[in-house]
Amino acid sequence: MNALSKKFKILIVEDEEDMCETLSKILRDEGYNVVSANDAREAIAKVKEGGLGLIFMDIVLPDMNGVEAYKVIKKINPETTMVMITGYLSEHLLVKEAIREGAYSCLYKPFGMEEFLKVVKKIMPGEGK
Amino acid sequence: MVQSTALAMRKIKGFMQKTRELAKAEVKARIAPSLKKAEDALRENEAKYRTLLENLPQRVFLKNKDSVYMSCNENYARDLDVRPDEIVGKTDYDFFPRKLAERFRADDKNIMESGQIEDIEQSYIQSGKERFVHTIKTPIKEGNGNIVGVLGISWDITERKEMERHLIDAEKLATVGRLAAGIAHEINNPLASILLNAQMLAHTIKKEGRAAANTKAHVNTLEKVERAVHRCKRIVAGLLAFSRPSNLQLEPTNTNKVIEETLEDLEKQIKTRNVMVIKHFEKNLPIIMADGQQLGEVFSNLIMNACEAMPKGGQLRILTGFQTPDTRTSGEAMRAAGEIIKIEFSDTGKGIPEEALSRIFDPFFTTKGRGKGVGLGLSISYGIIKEHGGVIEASSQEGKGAAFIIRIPAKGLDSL
Repeated sequence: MNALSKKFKILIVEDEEDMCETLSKILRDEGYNVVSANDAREAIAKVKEGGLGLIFMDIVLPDMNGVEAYKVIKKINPETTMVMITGYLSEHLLVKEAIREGAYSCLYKPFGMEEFLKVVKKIMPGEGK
Repeated sequence: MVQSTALAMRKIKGFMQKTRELAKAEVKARIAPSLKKAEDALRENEAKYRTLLENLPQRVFLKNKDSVYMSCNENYARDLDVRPDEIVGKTDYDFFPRKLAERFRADDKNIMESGQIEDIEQSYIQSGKERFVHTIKTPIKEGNGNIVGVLGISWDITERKEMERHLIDAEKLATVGRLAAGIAHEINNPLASILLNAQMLAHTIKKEGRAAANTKAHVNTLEKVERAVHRCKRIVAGLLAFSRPSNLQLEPTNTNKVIEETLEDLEKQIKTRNVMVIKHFEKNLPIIMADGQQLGEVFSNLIMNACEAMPKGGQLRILTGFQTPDTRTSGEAMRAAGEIIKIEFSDTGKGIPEEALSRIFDPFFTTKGRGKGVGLGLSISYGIIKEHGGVIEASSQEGKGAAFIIRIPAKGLDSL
């Protein structure tokens, strides 16, 4: 993980614009390089561009669910580190499926800033400020 | 002469005696074996039917036309705690509480009077536990067609009933569970936005101090909080729409006019999406007793859904008409109605996927992206139409648009 340098970006995939902006702003304020997508199609395109160190993927997206999107992304880049975001409970089938598929972890809404940043710091140490 | 006559008489008597004896012997020798055979056959037959009867898992009983027991099988006798032969001559009053016996007797009477077979499901309390019994009662007819009694066959369906009840409970629980999960999901999203924005603002203020406060960014953050709170408020209001009791303000309503007014309200949204509205309104549409405002809410939901399904523009056809109900018409209020009005909304949008079609009226189900739809519009609409005694149905071919048809009874609302 230390090999990841500042050139790596974090992708936020979230269809709710306010939430997407908020998560992006928190990361930018901490010095991270952030890109965002509002649906799975856009997210897949960003993955193809490369340079991502971590993806935060909401489970409910307008075009396909986050787990399906993760499966597609894994085919493009099997090394992708994926953290799911959801308003569902941990018992939800899609949450379980995401973890089975190899997602690093899942953040349950409403999660706080500290919890959010802790995950980022753990996966990309030395990347922020 | 007298002597000889007396002798002749004696001879005749003796002859007759002899003949009688011979006849008796003949009968004994000839008829008795076939009589015995008949008796044996009868006994065998009875044993055969007894075996059949006793091996049936059902309870079987026979009553005469006065509802007096004539016979029953072991299973039935065991339920009544007697031996099968002890039941003969007894009535239901000897075994059951008076009210139940009266009910049984009334059933017997009905069946014997109508000559029809009847299926009866009954429940009673046995050793403090509710038991359910299914009974088929058949009138017994003589050769001349006269009804002389009742044959009853019954079986215990308590287990089946309990299973049905568990199934219903499980379904109810699953529905409540799905609803709770839906509410949790919908509320958790704006809550996350509120929490993160509040923390972010606090963090920035602590770090930067009052002097360095970037007012514009802070206002932007606070506005996000405000929007999230409004979203929660909308969800709660939507949920309350489910819990509120029927409070329709019924008045004579011109449905065409309600649609026109709704279209006027939504004019801006329709125009910006480049949607062309084509109206086929029935001029002689019956005036219905309805809550115009709530119907307007339904129409508004359907029109907005259609517009959102056509982001690149398209056609929305709105058709009104009426028909006379027939026996195939579903719903009691609809069949009782003199006329049924029909309102159809069909669009040329992206349509509804087949797997989504069956869930489209479920609360919190949405095919729109989050932040765009709470997923309550159609379920609220469904409730409003149902309160009017009507039905709403959706059909769609993916890629070719969707159609929603509403049918509301024009009369008979008093019976709702």
